[in-house]
Amino acid sequence: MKKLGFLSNRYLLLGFVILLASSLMIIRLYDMQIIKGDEYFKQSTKKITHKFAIKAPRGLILDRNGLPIAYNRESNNIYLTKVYSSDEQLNESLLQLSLIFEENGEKHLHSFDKYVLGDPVIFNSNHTIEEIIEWQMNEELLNISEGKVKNSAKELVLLLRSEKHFNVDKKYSDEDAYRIICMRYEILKNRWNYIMGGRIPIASDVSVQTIALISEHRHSIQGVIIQKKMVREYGDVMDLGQVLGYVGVIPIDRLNELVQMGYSSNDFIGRSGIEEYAEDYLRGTDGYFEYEADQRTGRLLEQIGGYDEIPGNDVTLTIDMGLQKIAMEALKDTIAEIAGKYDGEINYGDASAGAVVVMDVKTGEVLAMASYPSYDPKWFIHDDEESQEKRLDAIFDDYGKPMFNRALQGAYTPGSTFKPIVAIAALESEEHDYDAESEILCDGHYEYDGWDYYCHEYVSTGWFTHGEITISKAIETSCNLVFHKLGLTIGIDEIDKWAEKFGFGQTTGIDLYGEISGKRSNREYKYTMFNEKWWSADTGQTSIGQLYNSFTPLQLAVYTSALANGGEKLTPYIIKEVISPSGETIYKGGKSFEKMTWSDETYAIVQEGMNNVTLDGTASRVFEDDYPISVAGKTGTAETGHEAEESSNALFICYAPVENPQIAIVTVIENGVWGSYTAPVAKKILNAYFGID
Amino acid sequence: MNKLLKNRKFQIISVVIILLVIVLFSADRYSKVNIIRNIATAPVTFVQKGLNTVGDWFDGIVSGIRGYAVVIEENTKLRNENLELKEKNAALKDMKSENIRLKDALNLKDIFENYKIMGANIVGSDPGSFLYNYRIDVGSLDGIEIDDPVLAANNVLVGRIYSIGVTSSVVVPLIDELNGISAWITQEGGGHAVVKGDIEYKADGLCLMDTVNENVKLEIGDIVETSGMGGIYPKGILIGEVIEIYKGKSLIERHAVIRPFIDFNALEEVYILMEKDSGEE
Ligand SMILES: [Zn+2]
Repeated sequence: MKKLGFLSNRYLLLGFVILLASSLMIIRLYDMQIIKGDEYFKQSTKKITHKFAIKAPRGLILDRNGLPIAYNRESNNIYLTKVYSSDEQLNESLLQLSLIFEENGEKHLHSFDKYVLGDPVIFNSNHTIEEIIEWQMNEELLNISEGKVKNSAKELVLLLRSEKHFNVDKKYSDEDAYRIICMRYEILKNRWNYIMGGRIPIASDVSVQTIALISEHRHSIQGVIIQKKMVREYGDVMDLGQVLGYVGVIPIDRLNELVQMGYSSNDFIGRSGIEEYAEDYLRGTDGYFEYEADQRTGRLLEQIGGYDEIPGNDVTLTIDMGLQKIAMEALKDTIAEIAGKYDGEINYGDASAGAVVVMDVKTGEVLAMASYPSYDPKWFIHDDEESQEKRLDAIFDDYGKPMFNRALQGAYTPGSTFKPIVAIAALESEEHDYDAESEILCDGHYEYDGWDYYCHEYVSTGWFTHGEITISKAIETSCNLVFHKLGLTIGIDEIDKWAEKFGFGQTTGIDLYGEISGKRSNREYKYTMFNEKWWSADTGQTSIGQLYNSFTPLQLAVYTSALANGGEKLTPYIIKEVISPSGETIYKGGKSFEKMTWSDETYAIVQEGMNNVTLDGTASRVFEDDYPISVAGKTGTAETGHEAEESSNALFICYAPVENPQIAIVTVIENGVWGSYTAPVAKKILNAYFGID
Repeated sequence: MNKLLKNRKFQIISVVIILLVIVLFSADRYSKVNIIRNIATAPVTFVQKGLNTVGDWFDGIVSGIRGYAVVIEENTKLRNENLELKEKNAALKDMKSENIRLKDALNLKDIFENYKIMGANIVGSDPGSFLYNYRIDVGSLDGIEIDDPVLAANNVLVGRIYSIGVTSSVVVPLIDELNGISAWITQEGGGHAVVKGDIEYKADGLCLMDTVNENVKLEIGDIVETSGMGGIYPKGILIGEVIEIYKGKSLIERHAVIRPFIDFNALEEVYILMEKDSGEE
């Protein structure tokens, strides 16, 4: 081809000019996009305001050594937020999201099916047709005019697919259309929040797999936000179940009150145990974030308001988790051992529940508080099938009552563990001159006011009597006859005066909810309950810890501590301190007590008697001769009144070391047969506490 | 009618109109005319190749147009950065970490046994799109599908197929602002995170990472690869490294800036991972 010919061809020249024009256009396009792209981008971006609350993590709960018992775990939550998109894009995004949820077994908000079920499409039968019609006409929701209300679910779904409602394209199958409608309904329910740029929660605590799928399809699933939130998690806490408690949704009857206090309706609050008691300490202050976002992508452009969340305060307990575990295991093992000794006469093999309290006798700190059977707080915060099942089992187990904290909600007849009170009352009585040398005769049988009293050993052997014994020896041998005599001599009012001083019949004031006050066996109680006069026989029974006496293991621990520390009735406590996120101490638990006085001689007599219980008395078979620390203890066997069909309740109280008491331990085993059977629980705890092999 | 079609003038005017229509439509990548684009891209690729050539020829004439000089400057800068990145890549190759699998094209087949691997040449940028979309010379005829992962020879992630024509397709790079990748931080104490494109960082060839799993001890220099859990990218494709860490909107959200390993400016050939049985669907 000749060069000149090429240029002289007019058509070619025209084509050339067009080509040149096109090139310039494309270059111009480059100019717009590369060089001034940023400017153009900023100008072209349509802004939308987004805002959301940032949930503050709950404070930790730690044991006395700083071991985290309740902490927080990260959860990924899915929210819907408005971005600029057509119904077509929105519906497709929601369908994909819904399918990902289904594929990964994620529970997502799905309230449409409270009215319309999807497979097959029918009205949910938990609503009457009137309710369903009313629901369709609800102006805040579907807002269907009266004339267009549907009597069939299929027709309703068809209506909702229409342009007037969710505009679900005809290309979608019935199943997919239902999925889309369900998601659109959640938005509709929250539409003011949605329109204002808020976040609509749609699924919580989703798996990493779900996050992965949603994120990687971000280009086609629009308006979805993944937001992290800290949620409660518990460590190995089954042994501390009732004390720790758990968190859960706000009960409906408290919703109004709590929303006014700044809670939102889907917040979790402490529902029991420390979680409930320390709610105000543990709860954090939610943060808030408001920003301008790109309408199309939801991308943050500029923060325009908000403040940081403030985590809750950390609560340190007086509980030693190591000791707690040992206490619970010892209790559980001992219960199993007792039940295994079934004989059908006095042991019906029915031991199955009990409680242990370990308390610092100098301060009132509760070092361990176990109630068996227990529950795992994790059952209440996890939503898997096994947890759900165990949770329901725990709630409805009327026999084992695992939800029940026996240490402060169970009341037990004290039996012989009451005898030191009678001894103190007698020794301290101004009218009578009992002292260390006083000897009281046990000759097997005693008659008073026309009632017969017996020594239990005389009854069981037919010949044995304790003879003339001191009060200390009477505690050691637990001779019923001597205590009947002491009680009948000093009278019920003297006994009850001391029972009251030790805190029985009143709550101890521990920092936990649900504590009961128990009962003291006295004139007032009998008169109030039965409108009956008090007889000397009632005093006789009360003197050996029977009749109406009924105490909680925690009260018994306060009592045992007072026996140990010489008369300080301590207020037991379980919150050691509360530390704010900035490290400030905002609460410190401390010793508080009421002092009762008795003579050093009285203290020595009772202590000697109780010390001998573990050396030569009812618990001496548990504590061998060379046991390295001296223990003051008292066993108790309490008739339940159904001795023909169930074993007696069994108790053991003790403190140690005798020379310088540090801890008090109370063990109660329901249907535990003999008080001495429960002493091994205390021994295991002492071994652990004092480092005895 | 036949006469009209044979008229040269008509032919040329038609071509111009078609060109204009295509330019206008494809200027908005979010427009609803993807179908038109798909049909139209086959001739466009052809024309575009021609245009690039002619464009070179016209260098002298158009250099006066405002901004083009800046482009050249920018290119030089990018080329320099390029060299830096190449050095970084070389340094990476030296790293003995087991997790780093910089392999050549031959080995891609070994790494991704379940995929058919198709090589492709970059033939230009996607006309009417933002800076970094690439047009490659394979399309639906070759079995390419939307969302197929696109890699460089050394098992480094480029992006995914964004749209397909008959004989060409468009690759959207991983740093595109609508992209998300389910990622895995390979360092000890690693775990899941999400890599996302961001329009501001994209300009610098960077992207962001968030939704970092709480067990991850996030550190600068952490290497990030695909997790294989997100449904698009198989596991183990190298994405990039963490160059900056910052706090997110709440106290528990951690964010990071990622520098991709891919050198977008030196890119000439890419490899597309295709599902082996994709042709029979
Ligand atoms: Zn006796």
